Amino acid sequence: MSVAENASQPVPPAVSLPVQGDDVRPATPSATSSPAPSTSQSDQVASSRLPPEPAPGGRPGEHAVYFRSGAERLFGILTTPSARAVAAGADTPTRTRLGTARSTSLGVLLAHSGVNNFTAHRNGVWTTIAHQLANEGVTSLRFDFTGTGESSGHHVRSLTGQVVSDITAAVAVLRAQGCDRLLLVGSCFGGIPVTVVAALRRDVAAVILLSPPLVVAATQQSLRQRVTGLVNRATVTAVITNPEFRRWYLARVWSLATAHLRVRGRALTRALPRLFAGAAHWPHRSAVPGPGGHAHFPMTGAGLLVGAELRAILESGAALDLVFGSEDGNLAVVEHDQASVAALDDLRTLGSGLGWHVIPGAVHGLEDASVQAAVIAFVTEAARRPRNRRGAQ
Amino acid sequence: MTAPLLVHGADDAQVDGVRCEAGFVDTPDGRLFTVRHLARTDPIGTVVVCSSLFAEEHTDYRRDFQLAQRLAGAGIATARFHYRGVGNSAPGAGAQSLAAFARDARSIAGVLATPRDVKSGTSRLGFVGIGPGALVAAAAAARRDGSPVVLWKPVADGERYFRDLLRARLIAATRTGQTVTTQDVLDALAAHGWADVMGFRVTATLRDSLVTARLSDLGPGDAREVLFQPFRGSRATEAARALDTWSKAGNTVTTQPTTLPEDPWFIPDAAETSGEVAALENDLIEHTWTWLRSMWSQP
Repeated sequence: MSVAENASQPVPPAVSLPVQGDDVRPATPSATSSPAPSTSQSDQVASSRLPPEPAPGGRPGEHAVYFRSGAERLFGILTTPSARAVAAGADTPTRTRLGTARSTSLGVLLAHSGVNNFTAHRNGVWTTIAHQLANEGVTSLRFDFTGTGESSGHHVRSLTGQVVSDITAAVAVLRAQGCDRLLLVGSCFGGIPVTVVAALRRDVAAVILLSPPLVVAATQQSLRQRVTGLVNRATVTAVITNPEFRRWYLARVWSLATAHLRVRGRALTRALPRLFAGAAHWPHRSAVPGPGGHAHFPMTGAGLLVGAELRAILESGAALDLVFGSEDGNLAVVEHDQASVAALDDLRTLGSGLGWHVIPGAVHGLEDASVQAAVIAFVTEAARRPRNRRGAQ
Repeated sequence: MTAPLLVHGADDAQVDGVRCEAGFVDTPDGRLFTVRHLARTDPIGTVVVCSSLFAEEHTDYRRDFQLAQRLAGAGIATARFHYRGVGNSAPGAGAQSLAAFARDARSIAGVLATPRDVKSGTSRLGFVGIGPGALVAAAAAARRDGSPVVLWKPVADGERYFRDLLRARLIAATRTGQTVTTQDVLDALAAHGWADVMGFRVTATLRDSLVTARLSDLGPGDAREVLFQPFRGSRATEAARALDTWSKAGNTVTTQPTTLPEDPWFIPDAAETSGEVAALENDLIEHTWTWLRSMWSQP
């Protein structure tokens, strides 16, 4: 299975897809590009004990790294190109595999889905991507968010604060390796802090979001849609026949229900004071992150969860690819949210930087080998040709 | 140990108050990702954790980490690792099988072993096995006289485990209307040497070793201490029967059940761990380290 660009998806109808190669411009080493603005203290703190590059011989270098993100200590694996890969890249400058004369100047950050995940991500997909990128001469970092995998602390599935700091700190590790242009890849939840950080920086060439939760589930679906999404023939059959699935399913229903109640509760808490002040207001767009890199996200309301940040990424000239499975719940909620469709239409007006990709038959994330293979190929290809208009300046 | 073991690409840090060292260990069969959780002082013992597999590993990964942290905090040095071809360990590092995974565990144990472990017949080197990792831990421990074994939700019958795995795959396939049968999976194993099961690569060699594995057959021949911690689910009864045979063979089996669910087949929703689950996990881990510590605190 390959990633099908614009694969028979009615929504959003107006999002155009970049034609391969039409937006690839030869990028020059960014002598004029200024370093990314530091958004938190952790940005300036990278391990000083990172190994020298490149790794000797023909084998990618794999280096465990611990680095700080605020008060937490995060873990990651830095994968560096082999000497052979770097030499091969230098010998073929016209190929501009990274759109740059320096094959090691691009760094790829791989952010997993958050809780219940670890550096390798599902079935070692991040590991495979990292090795393939190294063979292409590209350095990458896969890491654990706070409270996941090997990192310290407790994971809180919030869209503010720590997770944004974590991405910023991980980016700093890549910067410390000499990666002056970045490709940020976020899977599911990991795509949200990736988006926030990418919107703040000037060194991001491209962003890939895999099954991102662009709209908080169930906020704009009718009751009928919500019920049929959870209770249908397939799920009922599975619930009846399989105790393990039943436990998982009931836990998921409970999780969605409590999340919904929390969302409504928070929204009400915010709205009531304004109501009494004569200024009732339900937030529609994500707020601009404030100083320190910490953003405030509304957890409800129509429109894209990080619409402002997605717009900022595109306006900066970076490429933005959104990848979903055709049966992905996170795609379905976008399709059912008219405000989100309108927001995506709006993003389309910003040029050809937005890519919309749907993998036929896939559900969510990296749930089978064919989807994993498609994503591995997609990310590797994107690293070869980051559509970075900013880099061409 | 047949070859020297080297650590590559290592880094270390204080993580939640415990010194952790992560890196890659070269074994005769390939490079393995390893994390060592070090005790603050001279360790009273060392433990190697044999993790679970597939989707279950996602549920267990953080538990493994927390167990290792708590053990290290209690003075027990602990190592965790990714089996060959799994997670961060190098792909293509030899064929996967339970026996190969047990060799991986023994290689990691070799890195950890202290002079005292060696001199004392390794009685202070223990193995923790989780889910199917219990079969790995039992096999690894069998080669080390007197090594204590801790088993969380152990798989007792590898054949049944594999059958349930395929059944879960069928359930998962209903969500996309796929009609891939179990026979298709078996055909793929025969034709390609591996098959995709819910996004996880199951190799024919691993499958072959699973379907013949029985926990009851892996019981150590000598007398040793075993902590059996069954979870709530279908494995508990069968595992208890298997460990009965261990007891009859002269091992001392202590049973400490938990009400945590086994939930082996699906990666859970990305919700925060509930307070109740966190408390149960805390109890589970505490029982493990207090059991090990009480055994090894004796001179």
